[in-house]
Amino acid sequence: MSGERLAKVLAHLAADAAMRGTATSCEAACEACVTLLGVTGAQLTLMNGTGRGESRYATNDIGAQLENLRFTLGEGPCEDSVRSGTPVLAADLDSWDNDRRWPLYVRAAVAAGARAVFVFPLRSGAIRIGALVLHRTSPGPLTQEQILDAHVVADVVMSMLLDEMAMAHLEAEVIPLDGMPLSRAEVHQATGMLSVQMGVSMDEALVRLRAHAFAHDQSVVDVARDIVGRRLRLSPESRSDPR
Amino acid sequence: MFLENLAETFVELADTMVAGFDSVEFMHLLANRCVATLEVDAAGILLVDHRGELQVVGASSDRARLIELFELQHRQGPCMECYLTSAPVTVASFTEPPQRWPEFSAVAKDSGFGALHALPMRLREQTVGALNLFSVEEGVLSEPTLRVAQAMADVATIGLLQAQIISHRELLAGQLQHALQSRVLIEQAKGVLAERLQIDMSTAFETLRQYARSHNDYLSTVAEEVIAGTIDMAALTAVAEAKASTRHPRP
Repeated sequence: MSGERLAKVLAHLAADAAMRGTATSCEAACEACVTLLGVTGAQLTLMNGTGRGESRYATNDIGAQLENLRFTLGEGPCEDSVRSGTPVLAADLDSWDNDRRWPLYVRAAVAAGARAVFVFPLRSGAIRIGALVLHRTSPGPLTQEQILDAHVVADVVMSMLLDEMAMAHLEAEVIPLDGMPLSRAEVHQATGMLSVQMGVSMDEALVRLRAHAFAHDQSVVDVARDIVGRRLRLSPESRSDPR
Repeated sequence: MFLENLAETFVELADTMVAGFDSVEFMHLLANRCVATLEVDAAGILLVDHRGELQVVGASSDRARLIELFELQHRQGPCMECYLTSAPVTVASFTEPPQRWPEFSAVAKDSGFGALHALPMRLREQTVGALNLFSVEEGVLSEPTLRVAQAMADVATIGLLQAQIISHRELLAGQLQHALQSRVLIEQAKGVLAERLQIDMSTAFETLRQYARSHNDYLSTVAEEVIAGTIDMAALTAVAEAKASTRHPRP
């Protein structure tokens, strides 16, 4: 049945966080990846204003080192994934092909202990906020189930990050109501319209859309519909004060 | 008339399946040809994503109500049933009881439709999605029409194979991402264009398509350029104006 995979992943994230005595968060989601996806470590790279990206979190040393390599060398599976916006799955890092593809990266990554790297972009069309980077210390591909689960985790993490950014626009503490309306046409259309109305990037437009929804106790999809139907405009000066 | 239509359909589709294959354009074309050939009133191609939800990758029209009808079937409904059972599903009337999906039927009826047919998109033993056909008239399509409809669904699957959206051996979630992300890009670009030129979403989409065709570019590439602001806005505006002045009102 559909919806089951999402429910399963969310349940795993919640249980894992509870076991650690923390709240669910993108950091906690990285930790939960280890058991959920059978990997050695997980790391979150976020794009910042510089376009070079930075590490938000790593569950272990190897993860942190892999991100350093990406940043310093500008090469590797994570760099490719971030640039292309598509997943990059390197099940055997030390293979002939990968060695030729990323010569500097592979040597250093293998020396650090990584033998497989799987990167899932945090992306919604033109909005690309970073990547979820998984690694293993032994080579071998992710199973079909693990790939599907990883995509769901990436969706969840992206949603959490967008929520964080939306919260920053709100003056009071507001709890986001919506699940993850990342796949509705109206939301994407409204994002495009808002980016022009407010003169901001797509990322910022989506964040402001969500902030407006939270602040006015509406679903993101309903606000999107109002914008597409031209019943609502958000101007650059618009503030999303909660009532 | 029917056979000519069909032949024309296959020629047109074959044309798109050459080098520089644009899967988004292909899906859109196929959906449109379904409407013309099968004499239905709207069509949509839905694929299952990594969450097990059905996502629209191509539709014959951008009317908000139609898209809503597809999106209502995200997680349940006739298309989901079709996908899960790998068998055709027909809703011959949205009003006669019993209704298996009452809320969906109410919205479908409200939108002016009378019946729905869902055909499974199959790849060997696996089903990857469903072809969704809406008719204004109630009732079931004839057997010959249903056979052609299944063939169209199979062509859609072949088209996705061609674009390497799905592989011969199995559906890999990563490959589907490209089709889904392209769709998102296009929706985002529609919004940008709609606001910039003060046009509706349909005209925005047709403008993108026309521009992509005449510049021999992928739809998603043009969409990216619109979003990035690197597109020739004057040229695009001209296309939009031409589109807007030739639009016929649709039911």
